[in-house]
Amino acid sequence: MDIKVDKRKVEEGLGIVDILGEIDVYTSSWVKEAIAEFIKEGNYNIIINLEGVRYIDSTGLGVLIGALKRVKEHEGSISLICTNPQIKKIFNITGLSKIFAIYKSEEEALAAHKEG
Amino acid sequence: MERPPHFICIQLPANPEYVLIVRLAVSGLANRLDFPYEEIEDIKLAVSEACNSIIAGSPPGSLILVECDSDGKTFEILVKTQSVDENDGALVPGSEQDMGLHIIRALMDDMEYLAKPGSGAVIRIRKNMSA
Repeated sequence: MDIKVDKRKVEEGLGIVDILGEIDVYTSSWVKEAIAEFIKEGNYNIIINLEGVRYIDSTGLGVLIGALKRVKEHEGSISLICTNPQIKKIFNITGLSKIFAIYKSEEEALAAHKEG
Repeated sequence: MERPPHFICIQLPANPEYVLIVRLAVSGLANRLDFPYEEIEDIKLAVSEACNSIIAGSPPGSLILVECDSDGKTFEILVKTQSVDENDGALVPGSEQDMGLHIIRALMDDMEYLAKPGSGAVIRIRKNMSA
């Protein structure tokens, strides 16, 4: 399986998901399951680190949108860490860059979360 | 029939597990055709989205076919349910509501999506090559 998903709890209700590999039509179900489980554990504010992601397609984007819907039910948030220009381009093309806050680093994402 | 030098054809099960193989093969050919890195990444994503769409619209247990060709000016990729004839007059323009097809349109120079409900579909994408 060309995908690895690691979850870290930062504080109560806030967690980070590090994804490594390619998120496509085949691997996206693993990512979906891992994030859904993390949300079920009460992590309604999630930072998803895409720095280790080499490729994402529309099914991967669908997983992120689904996760956003679920945390919104609990007034939570999903923010992303991404500097790969090719992946950022996909977020721009699909208009998702207007829906997700995208940060350059974990520090930047955590600081933005603290500022609320 | 004599095939042009850059023609490649891949036949695979209509199963998401195999889309990675198409992506690797097509990006290898795009590299051989001297596309710049950024465009190779675009082609990779477009062909994967085409495969996703064709797999979703193909009957269970069917095969899909990916054909790539270049005349030196254009790189053309045809992805279809194997049992569907791309010249079949019963094919009609398919719905382009899904995000994957929107991505293909945005990244490629041309896309044609034809479907025969219940039987499968054909997606033809083209990317112009710089002089």
